[in-house]
Amino acid sequence: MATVIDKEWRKKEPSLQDIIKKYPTVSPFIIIQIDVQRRGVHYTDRALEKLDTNIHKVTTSKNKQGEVRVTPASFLLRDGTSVIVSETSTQTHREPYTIDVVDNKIVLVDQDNVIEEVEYWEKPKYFDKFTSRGTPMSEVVDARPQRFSVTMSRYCHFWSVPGQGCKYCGIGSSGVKYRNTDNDRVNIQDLKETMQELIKEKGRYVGVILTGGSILSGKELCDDELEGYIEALQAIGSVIGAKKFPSQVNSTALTEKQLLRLYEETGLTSYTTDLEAFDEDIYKWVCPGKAAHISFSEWKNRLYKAVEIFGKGYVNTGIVSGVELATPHGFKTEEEALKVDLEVAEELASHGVGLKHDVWHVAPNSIFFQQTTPSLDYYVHLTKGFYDIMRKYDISTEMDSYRKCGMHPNINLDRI
Amino acid sequence: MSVKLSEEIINAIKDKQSVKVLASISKDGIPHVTVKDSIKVLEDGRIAYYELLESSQTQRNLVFSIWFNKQVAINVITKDSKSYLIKGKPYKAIIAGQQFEKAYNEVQEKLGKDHDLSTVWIIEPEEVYEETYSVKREIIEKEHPYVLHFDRIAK
Repeated sequence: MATVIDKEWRKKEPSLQDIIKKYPTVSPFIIIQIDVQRRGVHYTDRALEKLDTNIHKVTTSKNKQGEVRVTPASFLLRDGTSVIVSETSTQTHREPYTIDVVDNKIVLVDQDNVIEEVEYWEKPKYFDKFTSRGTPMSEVVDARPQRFSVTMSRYCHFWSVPGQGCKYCGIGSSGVKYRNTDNDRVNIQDLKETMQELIKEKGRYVGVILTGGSILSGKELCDDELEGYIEALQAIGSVIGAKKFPSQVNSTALTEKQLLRLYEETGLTSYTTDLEAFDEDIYKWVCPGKAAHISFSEWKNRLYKAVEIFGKGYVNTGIVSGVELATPHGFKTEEEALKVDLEVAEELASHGVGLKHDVWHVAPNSIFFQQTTPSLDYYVHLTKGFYDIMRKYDISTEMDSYRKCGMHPNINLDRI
Repeated sequence: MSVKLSEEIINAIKDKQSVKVLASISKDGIPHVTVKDSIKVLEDGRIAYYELLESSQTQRNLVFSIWFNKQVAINVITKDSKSYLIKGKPYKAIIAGQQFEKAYNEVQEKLGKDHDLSTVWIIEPEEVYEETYSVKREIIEKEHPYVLHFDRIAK
């Protein structure tokens, strides 16, 4: 269902330029990143003429008429900040930004004003290759400009119980189709072969992240998920040939026993497990599947245990920023949301847990598909707040930096 | 506003015997100066240098400059003691892609496989001055004829 643009939205909230002026110590590039991820983008025909499928990473979608549209997977700003946004992943009541061509440069435009130059992400060389099983390597390992990622499982078990999927998540809802299929989980042979090609690319990758939908099965809750990560990390490690390598697992909150195995049996260097919302009632409402299996306080306890195992600066947690303001059970004001977010952030950081937030973009296929995201002011306030708390507690951002991930504005700020 | 570098300055930068230094400031206003042999002039007239260390102070300062529109300064000193000052702003930080990978290979060929590359910085020149002592002295003494010691005036 298409969302109707609120023609008055610009009158209801400060503009990009207003916010850049309001926060003089926050990088304008990061503010732009946040706003584009919040509002989404649209590529003009001129911008698409600049797309070279031999060089650039692309994404494909179908319009209402069933026509295939090929667009850039995403793009970089001049300072190296990645804006992680695709044309179809965001549904908003605000107009999206436009990517156009002016003076032969690809630029980000809003209301006919050129905001910044951009550069499309380039694709990895292995993307055009296949494994011996015939699997396109691009389906085995994904990549951003400087990091690669493995989606361990496409089907998130929370979605097997009606109403228990995370309400903002478009990945989980579309992943249900993989239930009981052969390609639900990554194939280790495919992974090894893809890694052997990937490692040939000099100067490209600085980190790997492994993540995927929650797998609740096993002798203990999530044991099967754990086994999957161990197997995949060992496969990656066997190709890299190093005891430890810059890596991150973003999983369901594992127990101390499970975390120890993950740390001791693999080359993993950092761990993250996302609370998604920093308020217990909202956590229960937005992530009912998570809450049904692991309570809010137990999730935090597992993070603290992870810090003991992996070390300070090697564990973090994230929220989908803005979902705590969703209606009808979210906070009523941005001030109230920010107060709670920053209080809980401080509590977590005091235990050595790093902080990150993913700017909520309303996924068209999510339960929250008709919701509206907060103002840019809220996002920049939260970004600066998380950044300041991380500095106060001297928590390193290196394992989730603008190169290793790029998704998290507060971490991207930590470059000066 | 960008300026075009003269052939004389381009040749000075190209000369391997020239010393090239880059000065930048931190977010707290603290100056920092380092020698950057990799400084070169690109075909479009911009200046490039290779920052090898992601967490170096120069890297942090260059990010600060591109974020907040601050100038950096480059001084090129030739083997015959000519000195050229170029002030400009970082235009782009290339951290990935074909251009980066080409530079990465160049660094490893020159320095060895144990060396990394963080960023190819592209700097837009905005102001250029000759700072060679003899040239600078002539200009300043003409502009400020009574700023000197008496013993130099006494005949």
